[in-house]
Amino acid sequence: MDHQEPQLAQEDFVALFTANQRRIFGFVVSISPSWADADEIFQRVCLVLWKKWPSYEHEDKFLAWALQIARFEVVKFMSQRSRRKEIYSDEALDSIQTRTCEMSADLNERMVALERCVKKLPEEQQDLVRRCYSGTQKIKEIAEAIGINAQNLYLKLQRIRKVLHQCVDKSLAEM
Amino acid sequence: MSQSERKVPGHLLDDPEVRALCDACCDGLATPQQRAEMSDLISSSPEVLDYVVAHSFMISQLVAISEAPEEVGAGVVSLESSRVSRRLSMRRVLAIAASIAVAVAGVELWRGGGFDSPSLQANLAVVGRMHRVTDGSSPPEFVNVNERTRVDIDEGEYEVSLSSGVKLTVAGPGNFVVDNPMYCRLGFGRMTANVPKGAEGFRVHTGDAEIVDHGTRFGVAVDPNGGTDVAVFEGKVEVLSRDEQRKLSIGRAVSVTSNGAMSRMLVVKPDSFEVSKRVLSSDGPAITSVRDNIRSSDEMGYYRIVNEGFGEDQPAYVDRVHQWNGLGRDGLPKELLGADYILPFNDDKTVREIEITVTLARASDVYVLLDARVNPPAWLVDGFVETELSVGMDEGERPGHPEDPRRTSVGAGNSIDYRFSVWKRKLAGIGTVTFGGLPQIGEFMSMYGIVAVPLSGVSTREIDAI
Repeated sequence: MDHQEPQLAQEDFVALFTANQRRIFGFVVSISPSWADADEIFQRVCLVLWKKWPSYEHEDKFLAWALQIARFEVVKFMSQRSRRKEIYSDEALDSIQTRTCEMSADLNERMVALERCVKKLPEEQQDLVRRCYSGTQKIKEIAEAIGINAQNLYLKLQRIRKVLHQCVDKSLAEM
Repeated sequence: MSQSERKVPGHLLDDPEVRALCDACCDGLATPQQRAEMSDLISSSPEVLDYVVAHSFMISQLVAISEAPEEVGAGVVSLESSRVSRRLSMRRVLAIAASIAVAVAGVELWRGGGFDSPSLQANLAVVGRMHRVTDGSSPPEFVNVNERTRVDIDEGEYEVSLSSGVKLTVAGPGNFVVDNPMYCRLGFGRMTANVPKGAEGFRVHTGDAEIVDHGTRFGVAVDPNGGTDVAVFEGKVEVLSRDEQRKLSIGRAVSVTSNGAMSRMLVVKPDSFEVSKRVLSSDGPAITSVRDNIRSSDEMGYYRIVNEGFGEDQPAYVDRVHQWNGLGRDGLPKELLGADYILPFNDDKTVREIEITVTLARASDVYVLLDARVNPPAWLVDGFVETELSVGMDEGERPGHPEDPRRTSVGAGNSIDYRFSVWKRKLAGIGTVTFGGLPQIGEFMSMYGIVAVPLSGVSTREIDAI
């Protein structure tokens, strides 16, 4: 009796999941109603991926397989809460799913450049990014703490994201 | 970004209204009508689609990198949701996935890892496996590598396979920690990293620098007294220190001091980043150092000295994958086999004013391997004599140009692209020898090779510089 084969399959899952988790999370964020909702949905996606791992065909590409499941879970999550209209149309979801796989290498480069770009932000903006995206407080609470309304805090974050997006673009263009 | 700059996939959209619409969708502020409008744009505009994918990915990474860092070495990764965070962190999700695997797989971790506390490591994700590199006489014994666990190596060399596909060799004495399959820290010691496609972005952190991979093979050496050396063998990496940031491609190396200053690492030897596989003679190496008068400190190019290593399929240049081979099935000339040799920069073929100075610690015959397409330069004709020997060059693809159809193959006489004539220095001896540049005949030529064969009889006669 061969005891090693099932263990190898489990190790394969950990390896493939680890290598692709950021891309999967990025995809979940892109098709969720908001990045805050994406957190909860991603946890579900991870567990469903693990449960469905035995049905994974080894000739399939893991990322494509995982994104298909992630998409299904996002739609299911929102439909069960009667919030289907808060996410994109099926056609748009198709496009994002396909393009996320195609841009896999570009997204890796973007990930590396982003960490560097964040360090270039003024300290105050770095703190704001950490505070808002770390998930320890709600946006409204942070806004109240710094004496502005939530709408203005979102605007601040959007401006920071624009700067970061430009910085990442510039880094990639120079490579 | 100016309009003249190259636009990358997913670049920032020029239209502020579409950007605002995308922001509203990402932040959960969009109305159903706005969401529908954005859906139409995504489906109809490839540019908008790429922007949405890239921008959403950026937000997801901001979430990932904003997670409160967990103290390294703290031990247990709790599987319960944090009281502080309203979500489960990426690390914890990974730990859950790994723990599920472990629970099903049994007690492999307890037996293999060599840790004190089973309860501790049962909660740490397995991020790879490692084994000691042996001479092949006995099968390798694998042990698991757990996340955030320091591994100390007293001596020898270990091969570490991470679940991300990254392969590391770590030479003792030294220690390292794999925080996750895409990030490790080298406390001190020597390491090489082989990063396959799909694992780009793998990082190695030392006390002095952080090395970010862009799909490559590179070496890192950390001196226990401070200082980090980094050399690129294939592809490119980015090195960041406290004060500087440099992109290095194949054939480049830097030394980073404890205060963050970077300087050119001039010479890479076989044992600079790994355990040398070759048992060298007790007489010591013939070639001990090499320097040049050309490369500015900005270029960071290194020479590679290979002692007693000239042979079939051996790399010829630090910036190419070309190999030396015998022209025919008989192989390389016997006189040169096992000699010391230098991997220079092939791109220096066009630098006419170059002067490469090699130091010989043992009396040696010195050979220059000259591309037969090139007319011999005056310094070569004056100081050397052409022998009847020839060697072959098996050329591979130019790094960074996958469309290049050239590929190397294995063994003498296979896929030889060009013939090189062998020139022998008129005077054998000890000391320094200086080599000059090549005449310009265009791009279709290669840099010469330098080989030194130690003399069996002892000679202490100094060689005058050319």
